[in-house]
Amino acid sequence: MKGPFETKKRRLEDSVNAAVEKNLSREEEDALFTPAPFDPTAGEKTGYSNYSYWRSTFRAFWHNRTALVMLVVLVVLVAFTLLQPLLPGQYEANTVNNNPLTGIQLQNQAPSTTTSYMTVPAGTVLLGEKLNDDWYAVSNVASVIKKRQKFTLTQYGPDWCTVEYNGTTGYVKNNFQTSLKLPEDPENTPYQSYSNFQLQMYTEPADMTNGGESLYAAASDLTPLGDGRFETAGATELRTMPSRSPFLFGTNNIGQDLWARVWSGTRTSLWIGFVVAVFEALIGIAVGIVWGYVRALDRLITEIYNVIDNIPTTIILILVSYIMRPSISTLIFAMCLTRWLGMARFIRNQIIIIRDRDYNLASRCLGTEPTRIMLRNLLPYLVSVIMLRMALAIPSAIGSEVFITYIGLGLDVNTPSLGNLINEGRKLVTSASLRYQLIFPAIVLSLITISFYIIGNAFADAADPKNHV
Amino acid sequence: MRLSILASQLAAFSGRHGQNKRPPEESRPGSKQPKPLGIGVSALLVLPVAAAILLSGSTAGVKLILLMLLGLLVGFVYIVIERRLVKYTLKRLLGSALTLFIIVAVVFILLRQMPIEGYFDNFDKLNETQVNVKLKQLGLTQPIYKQFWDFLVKLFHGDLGSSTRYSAGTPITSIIAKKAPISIYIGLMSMALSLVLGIPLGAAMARSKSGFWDRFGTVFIVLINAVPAAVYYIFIQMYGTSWMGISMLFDRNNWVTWILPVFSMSLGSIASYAMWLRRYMLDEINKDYIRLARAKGVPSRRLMFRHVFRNAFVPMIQYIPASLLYTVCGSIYIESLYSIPGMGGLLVDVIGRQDNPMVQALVMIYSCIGIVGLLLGDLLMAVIDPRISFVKKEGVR
Repeated sequence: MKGPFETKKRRLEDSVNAAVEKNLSREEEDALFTPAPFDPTAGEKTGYSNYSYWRSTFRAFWHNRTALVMLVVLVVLVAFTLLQPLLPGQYEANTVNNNPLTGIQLQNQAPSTTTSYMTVPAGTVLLGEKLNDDWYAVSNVASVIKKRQKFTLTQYGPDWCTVEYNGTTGYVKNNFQTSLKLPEDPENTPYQSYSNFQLQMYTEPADMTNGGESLYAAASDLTPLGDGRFETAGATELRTMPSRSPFLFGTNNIGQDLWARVWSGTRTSLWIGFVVAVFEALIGIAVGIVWGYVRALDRLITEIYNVIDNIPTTIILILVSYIMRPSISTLIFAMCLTRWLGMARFIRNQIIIIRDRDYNLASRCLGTEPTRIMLRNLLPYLVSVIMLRMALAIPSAIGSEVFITYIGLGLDVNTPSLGNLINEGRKLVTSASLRYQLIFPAIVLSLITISFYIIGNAFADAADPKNHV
Repeated sequence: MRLSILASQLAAFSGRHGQNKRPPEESRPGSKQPKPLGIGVSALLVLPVAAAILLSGSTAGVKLILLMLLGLLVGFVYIVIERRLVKYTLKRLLGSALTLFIIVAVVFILLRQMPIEGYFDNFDKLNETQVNVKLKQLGLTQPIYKQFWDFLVKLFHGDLGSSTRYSAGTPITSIIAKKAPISIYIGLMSMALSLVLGIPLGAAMARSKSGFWDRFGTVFIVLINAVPAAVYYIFIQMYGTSWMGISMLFDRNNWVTWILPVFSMSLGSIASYAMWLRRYMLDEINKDYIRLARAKGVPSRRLMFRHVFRNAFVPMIQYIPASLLYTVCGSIYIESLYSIPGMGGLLVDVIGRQDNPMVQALVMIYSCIGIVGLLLGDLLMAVIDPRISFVKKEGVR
């Protein structure tokens, strides 16, 4: 076995043996062992060190690279979550987005980073319909040829054919298999043909629609030519919806913007987590200090603690959520009912450890009031551990919120929270194309909980005086 | 020659160390051989598992539970008498009974605060007389203390009552007997899996501090602890089933469908076993007796298993009885995700339907499990670690 211990021992042996082999004379050896000269000023030196607990803590924390990265991630996430509604072009979390022409909800739109569908060059003539002052619904569909209609094919092309139908001329896609029934020699134009299926006749040999539906163009880009026709002034982007802001995370099954819902849900969940953490700290600290410091109450509070601690937390959560109406405050109340227990016991144990240290005894002998001892002597000792527990309380409160929503007692879908977003997304896992509705909230949720967890642990490590140099 | 003296001393030290074989392990004088206790402990752990395996083919769920409890009971009675913990145990049991009483009373009162609309499927269509008749039938018109007294009287006659709305008229025991076994099988399997995977992981993490296993384990533990269970359960189900090419739902007779539920259920406990074992082992490694043993030349592997691991495992043992018992409760997430007909969602379900007798019975069972599990854990600790004493010492607090 080659442990570090063996290596060190061997190295020491080697160095000593080497020195012995050199066969030093007495003078040489004495030179190696020079006694330190007497220095009277050294006796005056005082042991001053500029050690500061918090500076040391932060220095230790800065050295933890993972925690720093997570801190940056968390700060960015939280800042973005709070600022998101103020950014331009955001949808409302609860607005159901409809297609403005048909009134149909924009259900389950896949995530996309842009609303631009295609760009057309200047001078393109489009048929348009005014939607509002800013937007026009445009397409280049001159008319629709229904199923089994006779039309005249005047010019044949490999991709596009020119047709005449009901007196108008336009282009149709040359699709042999499905739409067009062509004769043996299709290039020998003109001839009469039939449509097997419904066809669209375009004004140009280009499809400027979104799968047959109109696209949207900004009013400023269009010059009216009258008769419902418009000419594009410059290179114009045709958009899938009358808005420049895309559905970055797609839409849900009733056409609400998932992006807005995720951030709104994050705000709700963070708020719940934060309030629960604060209440946990307040109640836990108050009870814990009294429990630890006041000897007469120790027995009583311990018994009460045992009773409450034995009721499974889930049962309290479920019962309270049932009896009260589901709302944010119900959730907070239900979680606070049980969470302070852990904190209180923790504080109590810490207090008992430091209560009878000499400085506290001295303080007591000097006649300091108990409240002052508790708040000034004991509490500062516990700041780091309290902060750790608060940091860990936030992810676990968010986890409880997910749980409560999962069993159907959480917030209703009009108050988006990460819990109900995940719960909604969970119902769609069977169809692979809709999984983004689960994945996006899950990623945001995991980022938040993981960063809180890592930062909390790193901070606790840094705040532990054992790790200070 | 000071240096040569030092050198000769060093040589003498290492020489003696190299030449002499380690003396045989001395038997500690005065200490009792812990063998009979070992039998009791292993019986305690092995019996329920063995019973579960023996009975896993049959449908006799009740017998299974009873056997488990019997195994636990026999083991513990033996240990308690052996270690003279009778007084302590009785005291704890009395305290537990009081706690249980308070819990049941609180839940009983809370349940009576539920809106009466919840007791009916078609509340709007009924007139006042019909509502009153139904409420009287359910025994809800009497004052609460009277209802509670009736409940207690029935309880002491061994009657948990019958379900009123979940499955009207069926005795609660038979509902539980039907649902508990499957939860127990899955729970026991996942517990075995988490012990088998979690403990080696924790030991490997402690041995290779800041090595590969430590990093891997830390990432795993952070992920499992920080991310809410629902999220990774759903993702395991989503991608696991499509990767294995099986249906998302659980089928009792197809063993492949058992894999994912058992695996996902064990993840949380793997992480916690690994985390705690690593922490306790590192604590143990830094102790003086380990340094001495190392200086004495005990091989590292032997040191880890004979000294560090054994001592580090003691504080973890106290959670084992509780987790064994908790398998009865099942897991809400797992059972609803895979449609397993177990105990997991039962409590939520019956609270939702305001089936008061069922809620009371279940809360009582769950609380009992928690209390008994804690007690057994404490006793087991005292049995295994002779340093732990429940006898109060004067002047120490």
